[in-house]
Amino acid sequence: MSDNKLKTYVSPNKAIVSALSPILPIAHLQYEGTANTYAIFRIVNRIVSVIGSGRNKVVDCYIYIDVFSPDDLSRADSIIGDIENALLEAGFIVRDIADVRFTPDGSPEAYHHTEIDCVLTMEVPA
Amino acid sequence: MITDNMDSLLLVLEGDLKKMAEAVTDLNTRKETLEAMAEPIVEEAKRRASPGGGVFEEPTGNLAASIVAQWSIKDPNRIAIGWSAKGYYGPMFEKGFLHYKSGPFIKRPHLRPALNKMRKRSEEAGIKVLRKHLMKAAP
Repeated sequence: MSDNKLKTYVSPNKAIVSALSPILPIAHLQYEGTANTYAIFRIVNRIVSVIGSGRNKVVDCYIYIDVFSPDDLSRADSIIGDIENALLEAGFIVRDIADVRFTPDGSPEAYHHTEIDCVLTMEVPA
Repeated sequence: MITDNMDSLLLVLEGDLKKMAEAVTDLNTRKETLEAMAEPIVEEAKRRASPGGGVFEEPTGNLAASIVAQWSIKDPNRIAIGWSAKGYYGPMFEKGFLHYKSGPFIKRPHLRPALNKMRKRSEEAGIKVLRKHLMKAAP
């Protein structure tokens, strides 16, 4: 058996959903509902933070949250500010918020897409 | 006299420190350091975008081949990591897009996750190069 006691797997799903579900519908990778404004998330890295003695106590989860809406997400009163506040309150570090794409008005599929790049440091179970 | 000796010692020390500072701020050293730092990130991004990398369903390898690091004398403290012109669609996969008007949302991040993963190795590679040049310049 390996002596490696480093643990990598943690699930930030509950933390993300409980932080954001009061604000908008949120799903992992793909949203199946009918709401116009929604978010999806993906975890792109789980990186071990070594504490010592060959064991780690925490894992850094790197997460992208993609928000879609027919409303302009760059406005001062946009839902993005509420999302950021909720993430910060839940212990996330928000690294970047960027407009990604916009389909012009007049198109039946008009939407704004904003990406939130954030990190959550989670404790691993003993 | 002790003071004279101290003064000459300080002068020698100052000269040594200057030489070492010049060694690490030299343009070639900066280039070599930044290229060493970029290498593990580029390799990891290429691996992720290649067959078996787990990011794309059926990768041809073209996008992986387009991932490059580029250093410029105009901005010598920085190295850019990204896609060459042949990989113009790389940023679309990195940030996500709708394939057709009502199609599914497609997003295959491979560059930034590589940076997250290799950050420490990249720093270590940079320190290794700087140490080599410092040792060379040290008396």
